[in-house]
Amino acid sequence: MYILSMVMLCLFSPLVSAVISRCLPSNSRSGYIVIGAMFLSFWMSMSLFYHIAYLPQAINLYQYTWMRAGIYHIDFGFYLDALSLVMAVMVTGISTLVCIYSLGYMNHEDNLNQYYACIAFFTFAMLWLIFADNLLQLFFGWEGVGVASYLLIGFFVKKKQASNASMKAFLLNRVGDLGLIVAMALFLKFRGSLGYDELLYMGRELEIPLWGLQVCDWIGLGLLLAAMAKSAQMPLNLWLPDSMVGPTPISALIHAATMVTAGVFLICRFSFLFSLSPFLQSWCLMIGLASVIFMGLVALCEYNIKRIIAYSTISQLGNMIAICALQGYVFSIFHLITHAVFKALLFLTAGAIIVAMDHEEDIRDMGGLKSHKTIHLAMICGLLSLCAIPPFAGFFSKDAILTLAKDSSLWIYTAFLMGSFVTALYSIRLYYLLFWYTKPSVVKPVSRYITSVLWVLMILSVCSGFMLIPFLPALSNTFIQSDPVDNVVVLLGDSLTFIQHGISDWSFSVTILTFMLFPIMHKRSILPYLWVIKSNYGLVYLLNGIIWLYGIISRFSVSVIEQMVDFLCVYGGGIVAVGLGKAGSHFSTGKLHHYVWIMLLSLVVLVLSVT
Amino acid sequence: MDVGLGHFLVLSLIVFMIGFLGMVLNRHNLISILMSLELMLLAVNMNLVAIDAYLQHLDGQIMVFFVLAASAAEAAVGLAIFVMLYQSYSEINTEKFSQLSG
Repeated sequence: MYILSMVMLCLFSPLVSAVISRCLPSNSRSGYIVIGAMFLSFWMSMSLFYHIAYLPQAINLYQYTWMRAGIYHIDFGFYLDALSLVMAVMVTGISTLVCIYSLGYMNHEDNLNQYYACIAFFTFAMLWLIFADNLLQLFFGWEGVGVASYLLIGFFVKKKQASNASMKAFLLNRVGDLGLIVAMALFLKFRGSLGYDELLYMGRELEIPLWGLQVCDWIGLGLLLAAMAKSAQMPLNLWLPDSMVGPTPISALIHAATMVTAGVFLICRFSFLFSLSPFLQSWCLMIGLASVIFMGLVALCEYNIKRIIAYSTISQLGNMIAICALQGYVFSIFHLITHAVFKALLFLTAGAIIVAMDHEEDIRDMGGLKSHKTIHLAMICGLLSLCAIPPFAGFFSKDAILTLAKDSSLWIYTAFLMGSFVTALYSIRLYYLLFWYTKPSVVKPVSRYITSVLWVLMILSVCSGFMLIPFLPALSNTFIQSDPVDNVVVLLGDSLTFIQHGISDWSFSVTILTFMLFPIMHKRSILPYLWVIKSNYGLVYLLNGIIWLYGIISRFSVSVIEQMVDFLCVYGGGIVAVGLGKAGSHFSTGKLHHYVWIMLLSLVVLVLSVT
Repeated sequence: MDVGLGHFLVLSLIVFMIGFLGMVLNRHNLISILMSLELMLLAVNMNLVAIDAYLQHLDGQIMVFFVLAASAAEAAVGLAIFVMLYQSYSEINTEKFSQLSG
């Protein structure tokens, strides 16, 4: 029974603190109340984790029947297993840290009570989504996090950009909700229930042919559409970079660490569906890998520091979705957790840099940051973890993904390698433009709350990999998976051998080579290093010629890449949307009797299609 | 001649179709559109009363009063909108109100 009260405390203490904080006057210290509630929630989820996560069976706490309709009934309860608990620990932990960070970052803003209330409400909705024991309950949390994200992107209400971006995020997420609703309807029709107890095993109903495919394919496509919208995958990625106009702690919490991972969580929760159908696996792989590579390339052309990290988030989420196609759900979740830590670190460091540079977000106008040791170190930790350098946490998860990909096929492995090459490229570019290629400017002092949170995250970005490895076998019990995945889990068990194995691997050398070659590739910064051979004029001319040729090639290839990225990722979506809108606008003539006819015709079509 | 349920249903269908065609075919006058709408509503009400009497209930026949009250309120709102439209555009020809066209 005490498990139930712990779950309740974990779930509802953020909600209660949200209500209290909303009722307090706007300039009061409501942040402390919310931090207290978050910490309580974090403590509860930690202790639940240690009690339950290692059990072989999931615990389903049925509470009561929520609604009955004909033969269907929908229950209300909590579903606790390794997957939901590790997510809960991550969400509440990052929320607590971000709230503490906000004390230092947001202290000059108005309406702080609303800000903290929204964060607390977000945590509540996210935990609701995670602990739900049926799809409808999950849907409630799914919409709740959407609302919280909408409110927080538009927190700076006086900016026109902010309200536009929040509207865009909200509308694009509706597309994904369509997929989730279709999946729920199909589940109800063919399984007769929405509860996880009935859904989470294979049944023969799922193999009934339907519209040219099988039922499980259609359900999976709906879920994948929902995941694509929430996790900002390729066609629906447009909202995430724009959402960066919100406050930076929010970008770290919602748009990097927690909310955008809800899509990956959904796919892993319904892993049995995705293991069932090769059709769905190929879609996962295509969408994930397209996001990994193209969004990494877009990050190369961007100059706003927050937008670079946002594109990097999309690219990393692509990794998680793509590896689901190879049934590596356990590594998907592993990468999700480590990514949450190091991406929160990167975003919060970006926030600290923005404070230090007096609210300048363009990396070309920044300078003198090397003098601030904490920021410098935090950025290095975050980027090395992002690029999968041992012993940082990102190494274990990313390299597990790559090892699994290596076992599957050469093409898939090459695509993943291209992904890690692009990652290394934009990381070193970001570091180079921030710290080496600088112009002198004044560095403002950064609040102590900010630096202390950065230190905590730096320590976590090193040790969270080691901490999570012993837990992986328990996590992999919740998924249906194949032998290669189990082999990699076993390989990960001995972390030192795994580090040796990782260093001798292709991806590591690709990353290191990119790091070393970038300064040479960037402009002609190679020239100052050539003073040694200045006496030998022939060699200098030769080298100059090579550099000149290299400059032409690189300029040409950059422009080709730019055109491709512009056309495929930026204009393509716009052209399709405008064309659809133009085609649709013919139906809106403004004449009343036309609308009456359309209503009548759609009624007839609806009646005919139902009967 | 014995008047049964079928007669009422046919009558209400005729009234409904008159209202519907009035709405679709009339392309100019907003007031006649409102009148057609009221006709359609009344036809549905007649259906409700007839079927309710046939099933020997009383609930539906009472519910009709509420529907009538709501439709009266709706007509009042509609007329108020027309007055405002007339004040802004000085006409109530529906052909002219097509600012929503794409």
